[in-house]
Amino acid sequence: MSAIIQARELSRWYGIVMGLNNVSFEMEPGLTGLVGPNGAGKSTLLQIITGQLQPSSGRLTVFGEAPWNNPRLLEHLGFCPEGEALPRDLRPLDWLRGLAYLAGLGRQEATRRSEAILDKVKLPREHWSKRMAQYSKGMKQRVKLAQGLLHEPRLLVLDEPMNGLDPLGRQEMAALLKELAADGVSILISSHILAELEALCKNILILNWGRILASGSQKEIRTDLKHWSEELSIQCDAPEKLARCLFDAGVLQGFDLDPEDGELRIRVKDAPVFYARWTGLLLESGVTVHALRSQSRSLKNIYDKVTT
Amino acid sequence: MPLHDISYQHWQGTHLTLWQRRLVIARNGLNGCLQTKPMAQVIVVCWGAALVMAGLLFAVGQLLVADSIIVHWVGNFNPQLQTFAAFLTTWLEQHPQISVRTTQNVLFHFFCLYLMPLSIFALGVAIPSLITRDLASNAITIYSSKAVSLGDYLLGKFSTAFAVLSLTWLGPVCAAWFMGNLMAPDWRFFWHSRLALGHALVYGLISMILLSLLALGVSALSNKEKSTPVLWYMWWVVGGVMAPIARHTQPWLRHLSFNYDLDQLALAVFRPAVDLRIAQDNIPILGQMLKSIRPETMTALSAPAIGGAVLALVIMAAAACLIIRTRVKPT
Amino acid sequence: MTPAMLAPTVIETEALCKIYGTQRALDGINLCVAPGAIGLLGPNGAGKSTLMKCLLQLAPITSGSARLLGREVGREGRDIRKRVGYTPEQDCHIPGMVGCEYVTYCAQLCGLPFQAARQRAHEMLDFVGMGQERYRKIDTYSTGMKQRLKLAQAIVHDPEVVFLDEPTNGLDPKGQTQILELVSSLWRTYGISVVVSSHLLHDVDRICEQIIIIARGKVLVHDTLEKLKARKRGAAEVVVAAGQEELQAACRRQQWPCELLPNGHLKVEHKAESLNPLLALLHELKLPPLEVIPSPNALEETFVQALEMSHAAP
Repeated sequence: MSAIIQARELSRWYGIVMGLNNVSFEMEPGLTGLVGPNGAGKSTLLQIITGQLQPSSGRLTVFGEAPWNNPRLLEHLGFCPEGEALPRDLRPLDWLRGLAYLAGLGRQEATRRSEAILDKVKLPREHWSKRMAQYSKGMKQRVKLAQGLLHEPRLLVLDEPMNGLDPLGRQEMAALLKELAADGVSILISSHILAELEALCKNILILNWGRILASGSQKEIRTDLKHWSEELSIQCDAPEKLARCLFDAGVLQGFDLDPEDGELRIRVKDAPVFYARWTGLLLESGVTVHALRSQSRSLKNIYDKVTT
Repeated sequence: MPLHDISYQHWQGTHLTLWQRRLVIARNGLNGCLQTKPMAQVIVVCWGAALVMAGLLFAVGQLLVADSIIVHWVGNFNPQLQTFAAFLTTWLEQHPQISVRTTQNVLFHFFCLYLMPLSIFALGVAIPSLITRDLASNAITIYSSKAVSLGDYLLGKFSTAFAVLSLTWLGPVCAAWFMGNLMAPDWRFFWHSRLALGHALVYGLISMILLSLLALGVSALSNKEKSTPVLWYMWWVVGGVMAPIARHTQPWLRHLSFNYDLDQLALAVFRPAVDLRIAQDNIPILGQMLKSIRPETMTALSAPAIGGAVLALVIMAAAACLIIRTRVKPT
Repeated sequence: MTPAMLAPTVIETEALCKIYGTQRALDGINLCVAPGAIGLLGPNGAGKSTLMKCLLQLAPITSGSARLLGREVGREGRDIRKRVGYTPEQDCHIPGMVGCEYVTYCAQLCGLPFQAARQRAHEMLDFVGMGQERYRKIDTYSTGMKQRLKLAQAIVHDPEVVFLDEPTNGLDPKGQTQILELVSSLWRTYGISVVVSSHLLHDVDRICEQIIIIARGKVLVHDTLEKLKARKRGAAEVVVAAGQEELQAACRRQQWPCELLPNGHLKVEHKAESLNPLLALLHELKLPPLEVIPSPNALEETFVQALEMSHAAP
């Protein structure tokens, strides 16, 4: 599949301050998550993608074209920035209609599309008549998403889209984004909430200090990180029994018992050999297993390993 | 060597009382105010003025003593003037109620009026540190979540404004009184000048309370620290400009200026008209000269608009309280 | 290292009502919460922030009663707040001071004498991991430092309970972990109860043992996390190195609903009390599991279910 965004040796400097340094990656269609600590260069990257900043060197193309000074390309881009910069004294329909006019739609079409979009982002109708100054954070997020989707973009760029949404709202927004992705819209989400990105995005971009540390699907990145410590934690009803069993099998390098919590933490000698016998050993020991956790599997652990 | 535990420790101790906590708020506010350069400069000017006032009181005191330095000094220029001066000073010395009381009353009245603009300026400098900056940074929420109430917070801020005025007004006035009378020819000056001090304190305390309240109200009007002092100064300046003009057109408009109302209050407290009449009736020769003062001036000096002034000040204070009650709330 | 005397209940409310104009923000809340790490959840506008504000006297109660640490909130508010800490959601601080002065001042406002306040301020700044930044003005702080400062001012006076409103708001993942670890250690190691209000269910899952869900002004759920998870046993997230399709097919044969997640994991509803049947299946297929996480979305599902029930009820 051809890449939606391609960056080749992209750099952006603010005087002597480094924003992005020699960044190269390709973003595939679908849902992609962008993570990095504060000051990593995420905002700079998003601004370059949405045509607000020019690269100092290197190039970045979206759908094959550079976004800078390219209104034709920007018609296919939707952007929802992080802040709550909505016009306070307007009602959402008025604002969306105005934006639709700017996009070249006629009056009827603009009204129809604005209403359809507000329904799609699930902004309750009873709030449509209020001015946006009275909106909660969650409602503002929905209106922001609506303005990003109004012109039916092919690429949607979201900066912290779930900020301020309650768990239901997050679920709804996640479902909506999955729906959009299924419809063929590519979505780039920048967020600090790793658990949500892990559940939503197949592909991840990790930035730190203006450099790209990892790009690709979560599975690929995981496989690429070779120097993991093979540590596992098992929650069961008889951790001592399991420990004895595994020790007798000769697969352990070390272990930690927490009988109160029913947790056994183990370090294994030889990963491939261990995993080949793993389920067998568990069932043989006869303990009732409640959880098997590994320290190094979640996106959070990948992130921690990659950013240190 | 045993390792010390530097993790979280619990605390068991005696808590400060409520008044001590209120004092903490006031002290913190005052420290914040005093850190600005204009404030420090104004305070220096006010205390310098106190020194000048003390000197003036000393000079006046010398005037009232027969065979004083000044009489001799005048004598160097004109022996006739020296005789007159000697006669006047002897008479004045024999009537201390009129000489000491009246002169000090008049002098302190002028001193208070001199310090007023300096104090108003100082309050304007202090206004952002009162409530404005706290509104901008949502500090009210933090205060409300501590072991103090909103009332304690406002009391502390009010005390801050009051303390600023004490430094620019009350302190210099009391210091000038004390030093001036200390350098006086004899201890009777302390006794006879008690009225002047009394008037100054009554006027001072009332106006300090009112000004603090008004400043607190203005500082709660906005959360932009550049706006609120501007509002304060604009109110002061516009009022000052309007007062003489409105005298001929709509006299009640003058009451919109707190400075004008406080001046009326000063006139009502110090009663210079009474002093003038006493001087006219009693002091020889000089009294005759004073009789030539126009009747309008006499009327003006007897606080003709005091009723309106008091009403205006009460309304302004109530408005300030209303603003504070509406704006100062935790988010 | 627990405080000498823990109050038997942290929060007690009886028919607590708070009305804003025509809106009932809190509608007859009855709670009796024991000390611990408590998660306060609810949709926006449900009343969680209002509950916190009423308990801290940031907003007056319309009717009913509330007791914090065993004392009546309306009458002994100031005294109660000597033993209560609060980190607000929005950016809040007292201006014109550097970090350590601010925390010292906050300690004094809660009744600590100056010397003790100054000592504890620096100790708490050490505890939250703030270094030399404490000597800089607060306006120059990054979001992470501001959150740490908020936590420091909330615990400087050694409270018995701390209310935290969205403590990880705006923080990057490392910052989130650090704050969550600090908050978690407050109860687990030092016996200070924490009440965390958050929209991020993963955070609440990590640190809280008791859960309270509030919606439309009413308490829908008040239970321990363990019990809530036990009700949701029967689903697990499976991570295998390879062979997802095989596993999916096998699950379908067992009539276990199975879903492939974007992160490459498989969500299987095995409907059993423990993982053993699933492990047996994996053993049969010779697919070693790298991870099997039970009831992965228990809290989320409880939340959604509770809300649906509340919408269905009149």
